Amino acid sequence: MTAGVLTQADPRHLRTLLQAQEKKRGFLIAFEGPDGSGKTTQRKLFKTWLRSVGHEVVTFKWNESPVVKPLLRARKLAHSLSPEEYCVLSAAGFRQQLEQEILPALWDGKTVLADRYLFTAFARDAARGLELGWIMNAYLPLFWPDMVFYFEIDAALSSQRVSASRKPKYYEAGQDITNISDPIRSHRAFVARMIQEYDALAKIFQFLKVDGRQSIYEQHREIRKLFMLSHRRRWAEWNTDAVLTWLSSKDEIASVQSAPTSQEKDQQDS
Amino acid sequence: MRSQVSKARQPAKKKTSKTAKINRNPRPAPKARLFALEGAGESEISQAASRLAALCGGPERPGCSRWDASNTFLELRLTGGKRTAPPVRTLLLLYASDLLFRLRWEIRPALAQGRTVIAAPYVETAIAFGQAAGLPMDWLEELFSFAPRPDLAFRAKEKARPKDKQFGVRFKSAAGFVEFCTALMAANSTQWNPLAVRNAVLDRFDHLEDTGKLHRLGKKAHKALQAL
Repeated sequence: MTAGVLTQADPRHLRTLLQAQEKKRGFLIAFEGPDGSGKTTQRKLFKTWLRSVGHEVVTFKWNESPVVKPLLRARKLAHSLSPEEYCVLSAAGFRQQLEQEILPALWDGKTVLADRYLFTAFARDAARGLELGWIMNAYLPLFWPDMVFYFEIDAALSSQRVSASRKPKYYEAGQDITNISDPIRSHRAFVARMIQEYDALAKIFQFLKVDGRQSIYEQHREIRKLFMLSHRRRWAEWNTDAVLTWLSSKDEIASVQSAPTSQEKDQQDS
Repeated sequence: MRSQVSKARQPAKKKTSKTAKINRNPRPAPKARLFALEGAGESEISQAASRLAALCGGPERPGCSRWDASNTFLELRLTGGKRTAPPVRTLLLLYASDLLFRLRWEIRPALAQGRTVIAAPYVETAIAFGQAAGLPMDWLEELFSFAPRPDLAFRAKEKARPKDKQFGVRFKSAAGFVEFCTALMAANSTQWNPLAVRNAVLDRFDHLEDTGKLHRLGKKAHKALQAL
């Protein structure tokens, strides 16, 4: 929560708002997995199905922030991104998308389907050799999804599927850290590292695993079944900091009570 | 094998004799030093950077690494950040990315050549702004933990503290990090009071100065520089 010189909303008022919204709010569902694991195909199918059963659905795409996207695109083209820069730029974009796209949609009761989420950043940046603690700090306060579908495939299959249609790009193939000149070989090595990180995250964050080798229809049926059985992660328990930070930054929600400036403090003291 | 070694040593001996000649007129070996220069306003930082460069002396003028060398914030200005002001954390993360860029392409290469570098601004300006905006100190410190500690940190002499409640910063003319971010946020939210933010940043600098972590440019700074 903010405690600086900005106009402060009453935290009790915000907590009451948050509790009142718990039942009305929408679901956040993340689709995670290595490249070529079928996330996007399944996300699209699931979106159609959710709409057919009456959900209002919004899609969130990773690294699509209007502020950060052009920066990332330019630096990727120039091959000038270091792992740390890539991490903080992605985190900067994510924070903007979270507060300006995801949270407003969830607050309005819409279901948000995230085509890649935080875990992509954790796995990718950790695979680039950054320390997980530092990476997670960049994304604080964390905002957990209600469900994470993880599409399991091995590195060889991922690389095979990606290279069947196109050549992996420089950063996608992890060529900035693998020092392998062949993008396909580099991609395979990099994805293998990412899968290791994903596997560790899957245990900690209780991913719902989907076998990415199954047929598209079988995977879709499994996702539907998992969705029906699942339940929401209570915001008050998991996401208080992130939601309250967002709420307090909204002019229409924040109260008019303001913290005194240093000059006002001096006047009060005298 | 031995003969090869002895042959290889012969030219080295000649070199030593040349070096000995040079050493009779010793010149100070270049020493890489990093100075941080913190400030709330761009004009103040610019003036202080010139002054600090003059104070450093030495045969070679120190290099200066300035805010937004990566054009990250220029891009934000051009792409209409004013219409959709990003969250404060985003601004701090963008500052971190710019600082990483400066470290990679400007500061570290210059230090590697044995040059003195003035980073204007460096870490404390961003931390002071983040703290003024209410972000937790441990988050800010962890975020900027990648930045090497400067040999000395200075504070740009600021103009008198503004008292006018109408104090504001125009988005178009805002040139420094604190000014730019404050103007951007104030243009989009009624919660942002530019006067309060600037004063809170200066309060943080006062605290750092009191604890000996920031030095004012002056005689004491000159002594501190000479002591290095």
